[in-house]
Amino acid sequence: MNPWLLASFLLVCGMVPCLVGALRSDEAAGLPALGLAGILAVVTLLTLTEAFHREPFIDLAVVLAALSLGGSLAFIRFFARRR
Amino acid sequence: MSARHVAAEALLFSGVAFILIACVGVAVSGSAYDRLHFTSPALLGALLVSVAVVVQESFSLIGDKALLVAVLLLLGSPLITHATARATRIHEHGDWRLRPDEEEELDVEAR
Repeated sequence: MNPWLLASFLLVCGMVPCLVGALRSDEAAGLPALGLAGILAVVTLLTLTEAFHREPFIDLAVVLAALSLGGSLAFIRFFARRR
Repeated sequence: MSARHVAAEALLFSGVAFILIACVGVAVSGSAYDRLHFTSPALLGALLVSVAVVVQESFSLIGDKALLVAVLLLLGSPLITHATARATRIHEHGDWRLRPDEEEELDVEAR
């Protein structure tokens, strides 16, 4: 198996603990799991780019890195306002 | 297999190991503040994977964009960590600043 594909598979498996951590806790404790899942998704797209040698995939990683930052910040801001 | 491929794979799997350790840490630990500590190893792992891509591809289109991803994560992750801790504090106490009783506790500890 291509090592980059194996790494992608392992990273997708890493989403499961994030999901479990987010579901088993309150909203505040779910926020770090959300941020970590964003990093995981970006890195998975990086490794998939190398696994399939498809250059467009890396554009998705760049866009996702920027959007997950903005999305997480917006979610965190709404969360702080809601008490 | 060339030395470049070996170095890229070593960087790749060490990065993936850091990220998986962070994922398990997030699932195991309880509070938001405990979990925030695990974003740092994940960031380190993401940087290692980005460097692995650069080592594999050198400074091509993919390598340059992998570096851009690394820079975005390096700038964004500490920001999100700080914002999460602040939002959690506001969610719990209404304000992120120290309460009067907490200030007194700190004064007593300082003496």
